[in-house]
Amino acid sequence: MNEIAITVAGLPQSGKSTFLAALWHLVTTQEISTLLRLDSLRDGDAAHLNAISDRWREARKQDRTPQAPNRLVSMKLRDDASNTYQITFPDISGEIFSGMWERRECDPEVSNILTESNGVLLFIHADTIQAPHWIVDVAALSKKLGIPISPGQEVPWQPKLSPTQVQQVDLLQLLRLSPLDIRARRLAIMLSAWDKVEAEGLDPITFLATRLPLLSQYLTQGADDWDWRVYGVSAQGGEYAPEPDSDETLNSDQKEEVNNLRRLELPSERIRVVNAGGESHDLTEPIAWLKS
Amino acid sequence: MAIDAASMDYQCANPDCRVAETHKCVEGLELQSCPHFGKSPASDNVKTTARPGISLPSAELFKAREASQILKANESRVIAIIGPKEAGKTSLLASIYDLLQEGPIDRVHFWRSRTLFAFERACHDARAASQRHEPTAERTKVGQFGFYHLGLNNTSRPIDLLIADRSGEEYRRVADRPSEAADLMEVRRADTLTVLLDGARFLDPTAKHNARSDVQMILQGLIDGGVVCGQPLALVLTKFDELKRSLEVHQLQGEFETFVKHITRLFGAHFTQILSFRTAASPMTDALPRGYGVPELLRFWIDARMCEAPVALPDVDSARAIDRFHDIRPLSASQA
Repeated sequence: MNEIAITVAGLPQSGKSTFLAALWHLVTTQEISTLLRLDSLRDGDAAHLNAISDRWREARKQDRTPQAPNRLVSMKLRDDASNTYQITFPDISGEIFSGMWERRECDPEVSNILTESNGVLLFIHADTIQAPHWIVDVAALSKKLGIPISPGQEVPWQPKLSPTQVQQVDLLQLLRLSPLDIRARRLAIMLSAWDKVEAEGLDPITFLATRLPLLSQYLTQGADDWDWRVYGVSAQGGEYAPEPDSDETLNSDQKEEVNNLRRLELPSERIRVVNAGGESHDLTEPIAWLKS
Repeated sequence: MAIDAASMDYQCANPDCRVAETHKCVEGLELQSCPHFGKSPASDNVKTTARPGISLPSAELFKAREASQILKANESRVIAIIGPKEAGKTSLLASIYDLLQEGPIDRVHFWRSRTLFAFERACHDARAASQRHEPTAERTKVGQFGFYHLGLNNTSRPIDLLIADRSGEEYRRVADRPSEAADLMEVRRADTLTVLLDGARFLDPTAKHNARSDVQMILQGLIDGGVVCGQPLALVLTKFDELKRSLEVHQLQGEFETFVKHITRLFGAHFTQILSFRTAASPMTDALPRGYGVPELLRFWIDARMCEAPVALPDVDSARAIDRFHDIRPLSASQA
């Protein structure tokens, strides 16, 4: 059996846990044909995966991954040729990754996990990208629209104010530099919540070049020799319901969207994976590529 | 204080779990299935003590040692941007980085940067996130010195720029005491020199003559201090957006060209080439686009360079790193 470790990286709320929940549903139920599927539950503890998949099937939002302890999620999968793979996904909190940017440090346990991984899934929430904006541009726009800018308190620089693409470039550079210097070369950029941005009419690679141009340049120019692909991923499929005791509320359209998702005969069909090769429901595609 | 027996039961060894308040497992498990439920938060099952983190590279300005490592490893350019205080040095280098945030600059692509923190800090006061009303740039403090690192890919030829950051006051002092030029390691080692003429002062009839004089005297000080060694020179009129709004813009442009000719006549023998540029790195209004004139200057930095000298590969792990930095010459494309 081949043992494959895949790092699931991304800033907080970038869609990592939803991906794992949908993936576990996909490989266990086998509602649709996938490149990889469950081989067996033996020698593993599926409690966490079953719990998050239950929530996913109910179209309920996932809890945020706690910072510690870091869970090692493991799946025993096989392909069409009956090759089996023990694939582990360290479910690392997004705060760990944002801390690498902001505090310039990494938990030793996470460092070991990253160093030993065979491939990287980097999640970027496509609908919450923090883009740089310039004072002069904002002022010009406000003048054009006739909307005065309300005075605000000047804000000193903090690392978390940096654009999403800068933080992602830094993370990928850190993975290539000592002391991390991970062995993995394959990288799948996962643009999550793809359903929220697809109205822009861009394919994932063009979206990356348009909305995250610094990251796109870094990858295309090959400074750190990543072998990379980009996927638009909608693992959730639409709006999900908050916790009953949450302050968050949904409007009637959003409630209808949740109900429509629940009405689908096959929950696997909520999932959409878009890349240069076309579109499918198969979340194992990027994993199959990373392990090959 | 009374102890609530029910709350005692709802406890968890995972410090992130709020089961005592919510009666729910943070991991979404049934309570009886959770291996941490019912255990004290201090339980040995979960590591709760803060462990020291592993330090990652800082992403702040490079010191001489780090800059030397880049010089040894790849084709590079050392860029010295020289000018009195508030001439626009930080705005200029920040604008290059900020233009790359939106895409390649004139077919020059972002390749890498090990000083992203330093760039982000330099850009902040011109960004909307600062909540400022007018763009500005943080001034480099006296005594602060380092290099911004910016890797660019120019038609499949990666090149590392090391852009020196030093306060305007220190450059201005060279006009008073040329002997202090010896401390300007980046000038002696630079592949190109870029000297800034402050456009805002050039526009002001009271300050104009001193602005020109500052540039001329700094150049004289650098030459007399022995740190100019034939580099190409860019003379840059900064804050061109402010001149552009003036009714006298044509006259001022003519005066700038006359000044460039004057500098060429005086100091031309000390430089392989002298070129002039006009920039509006971070304009106050939309009269000119952000980064006006910057792509041309960037192209000059990439293409112009000193005659190649043999590559020295000193061991730069000692306090003499600064001295040795002087001796490192860039790798040629064939050597890189």
